[in-house]
Amino acid sequence: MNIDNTQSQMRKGILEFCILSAIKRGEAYPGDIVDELRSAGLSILEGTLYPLLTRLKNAEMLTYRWVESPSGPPRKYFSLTEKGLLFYTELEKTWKELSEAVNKAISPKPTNL
Amino acid sequence: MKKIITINLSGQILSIEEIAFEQLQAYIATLRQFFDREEGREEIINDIEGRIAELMNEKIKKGSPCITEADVQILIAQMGSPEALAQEGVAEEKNQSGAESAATEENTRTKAPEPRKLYRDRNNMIIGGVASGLAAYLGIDPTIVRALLVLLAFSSFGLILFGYVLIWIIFPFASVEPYKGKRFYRDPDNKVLGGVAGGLAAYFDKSVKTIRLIFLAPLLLQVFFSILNWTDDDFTFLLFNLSFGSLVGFSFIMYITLWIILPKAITPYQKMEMRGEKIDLASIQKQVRQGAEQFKEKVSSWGKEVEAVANELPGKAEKVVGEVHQQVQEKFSGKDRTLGGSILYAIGLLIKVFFAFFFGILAFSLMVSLLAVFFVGVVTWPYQAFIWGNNTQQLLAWAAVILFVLVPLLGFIIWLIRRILGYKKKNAVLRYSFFSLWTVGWIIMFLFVSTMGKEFSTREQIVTTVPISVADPATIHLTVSQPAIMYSNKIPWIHIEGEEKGWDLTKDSLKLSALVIETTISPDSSFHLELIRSATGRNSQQALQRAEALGYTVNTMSNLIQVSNKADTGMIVDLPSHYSIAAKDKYRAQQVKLVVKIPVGKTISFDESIKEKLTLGELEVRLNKGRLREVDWNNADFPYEYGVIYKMMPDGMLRPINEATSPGAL
Repeated sequence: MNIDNTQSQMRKGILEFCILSAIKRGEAYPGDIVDELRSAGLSILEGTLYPLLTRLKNAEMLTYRWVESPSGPPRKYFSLTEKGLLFYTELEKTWKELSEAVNKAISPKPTNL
Repeated sequence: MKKIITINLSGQILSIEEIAFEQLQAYIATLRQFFDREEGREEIINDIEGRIAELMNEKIKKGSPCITEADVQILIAQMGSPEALAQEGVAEEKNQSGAESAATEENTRTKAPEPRKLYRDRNNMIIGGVASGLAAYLGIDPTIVRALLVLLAFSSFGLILFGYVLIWIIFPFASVEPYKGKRFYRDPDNKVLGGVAGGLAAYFDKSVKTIRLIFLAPLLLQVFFSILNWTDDDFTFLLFNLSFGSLVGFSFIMYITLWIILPKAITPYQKMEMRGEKIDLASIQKQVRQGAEQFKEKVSSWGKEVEAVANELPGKAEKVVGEVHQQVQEKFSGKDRTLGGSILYAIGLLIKVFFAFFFGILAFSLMVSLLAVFFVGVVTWPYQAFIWGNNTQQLLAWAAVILFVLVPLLGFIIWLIRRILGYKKKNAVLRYSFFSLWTVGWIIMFLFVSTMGKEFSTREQIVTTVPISVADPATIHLTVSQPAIMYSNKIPWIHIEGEEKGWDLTKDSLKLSALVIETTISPDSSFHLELIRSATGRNSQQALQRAEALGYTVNTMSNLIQVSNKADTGMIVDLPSHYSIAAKDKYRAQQVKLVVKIPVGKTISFDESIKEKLTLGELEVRLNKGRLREVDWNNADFPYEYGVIYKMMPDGMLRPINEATSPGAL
C-alpha cells in the first residue's frame, strides 16, 4: 500500500467537487480556478484541470463563454449550469455526510463510563 | 549563440529560442498521447496551448526579449509533465461520451475488454468502428484492416459489406484501448508519387526499392511480353495478356486505393508511429531535430545540383540559372524557410522535372522506332532469301540489327530498372561498353546498307520479239485471259482478309503483275510486239541472268472482227497476268515492259481486263555514280480508255476512231 497512491485516490474523488465549488462562487477561468484551489491548500497541476473541465462541460455541468483579454489569447470563463448546480448540491450532501462519518470514525472512542 | 524563431501559439506571436520551441512541441506531443482516450482531446490541447500562450505573453510583457529553454521547463512543470499528470491519476481510466451524464448515473467506465472478445471501437470509428474493433481484437493497425476491407470489397463484389454491417449490428460498442503499436502510414519523406511505397516499406521493414519494383513489375513485364507477341503466336499472346494485363490493373488499383486510404505521416509523432519506434519525450525530440536537419540537407544538396546544372547549360540558359542560383543562395543563406525560398525551390524542381520528362520521351520514342526496325528484321527472317545476296550480307545484317537496335534497347531497360531501384552511382564501365557496342553497330549498319546498295548497281535488259501468229491483222486487241494473281495467304504472319490483288508471295517465289505498256508507231506497215525484261545485280552477268529468268509469254491468236463495216482479221494479244521471281533470284527491281508498235492507219483496242488484272505503271531506277540507287514504282494512269478503238496517226499518236474519221470533231 503506497501512501502516494492512497492520497491520490482520496484527491481524485474530491477534485471535481472542489472545482465545481470554485466555479459556483463566481464565473472563473482555469487560471483563476488554479489560484483559488492553491490558496485553499489544494494544489493541482493545470494539466489535470483542463481535462476535468472539459469532461464536466461535455457532461453539461458547466458552460463557458469567451472573453477577450488584452494580455493574451481569449479566455474561457466557466459557470455552472442548472444540471451542474444540482450535481453540486448532491456532491455537497455526500461530502457532508462522508466527512461527518469519517471524523467520527477516526476520533478516539470515549471510554465507557 | 542561440537561434530565436517566431511562432504563433493560439494567436499570440512570440519569440522563442528554437531549442525551447522543440521542447515545447515535444511536450505537447506527449500531452496528445496522454489524452488520447479523452473525449474532446483536441479541445483540451487547445486550452492548454492557449494557457501556455497567455503565460508566455505575460513573461514577454514583463520584459523578457524571448522565451527561453528555462521558461519552457518551468511552464512544463507548472502545467504538469506527463509523469506528474499520470501520478495525479485523473486522466487515464475515465472515458465518458458526451451523450451520457456523469457520476450520478451508473458508472459507465468500461475497461478494455478481455483481448479475445470482439468489440467495436467507439473512439476510433469512421463509420461504425468495425474496422478498429477488428484491429484491436487482432492486435494490428486499424488502417490495415480498413485497407483490406476496401480491397476485399472490390473483389467480392461488395459482399464483404454485408459482413461489415453484420458485425456492426451484432457486436456492441466498447471503449477499446487505442492501438499504440506500429501504424500504417504513407511516408512523405520517401516518396516518388504519393509515398505509398515508402509507407509500405516502413511498415514491413523492407527496402523501398523492392516495394517499388513489385508495384511496377506487372507493367514492365506486360510491356516486354506484348512486344514479344509480335510473333503472333495466339496462345502466348493470350497467356501473357491474361496474366499480366490484369496484374497491371490490380497493382494500379492497389496503389491508388492505398494512396487514398493511408494517412500521411506528417508530424514527427506520426512518423515514429510509422516506424514503430518507442514514443517518449527523448525520441520525439530526436525526430524533430532530424526533420530539421533533413531539410537543411535537402536544401544544400539541391543547391549543389543547381550549381551543376548551371555549369552544364550553355549560354543564356546558364545566365538564367545562375541568377536563380544566386537568389536561392541568398534566401537559403539563413537556412530558414521563407515563403520566397520555398517558391524558388518549387520552380527549380518543376524545371528539372520538365527537362527530364522531355528527354525521357525523346529517348523512349527513339527506342520504340529502333525496336520496330528490329522486329521487322526478325519477322522477315524466313523470307530473307529474297533480300540478302549472300551469307556475308546476311551476317552483316544480323550484326547490324543486334548491335544497332538490341544494345540500345537493353541499355534502356537496364537504365530504367536502375532508376527505379534508385541506384545513383553511374557505372562507367556499363556506359562505355554500351556506347562502344552501339558505335560498332552504327558502323556495321552503314556497311550493310552500302553492300545492299551494290546489289542494285548494274542494270541489264533483254529484248525479245514476240512472235505474231496472225498474218497482217487489221487491228489488235490487248487482253488478259489468265486469272488475276492474288495473295494466297501462304505466309503465316501476313494475313490479309479479302482479296489482295496484284501480287503473291510464297516461300519460293514472288509473283508480280506489274507491267509497263508502251505504244509507239511502227517503223513499217506491220504490227510488232517486243518484250523488254530488265533486272539489276552486282554485275552484268547477274543482271542478265535475272532478266532471263523472268517468264512472261505473250500469246497471239486470230480473231474475226468488224472494222468499219468490213469483215476482217484481227489479232488478240493475250498477256499473262503475272510473272514470277524465284527466291534464288531475289528481288532486284525486275521489270517487264511490253512495247506495241502500231503501223499508221491500223487500230488497237484495250480490254478492261488489263485494268483489272494488271498493275500498270513505270519502274524508275535512278542510277547514281555513288552507292545508293533509287528504285521507285510509279502507278501510272493508263492513258487509253477501255473498249475504245484507237487508230495510229501519222504523228505517232493514237486517236479514237470517231475522232480519226471525222477530223475537227472532238
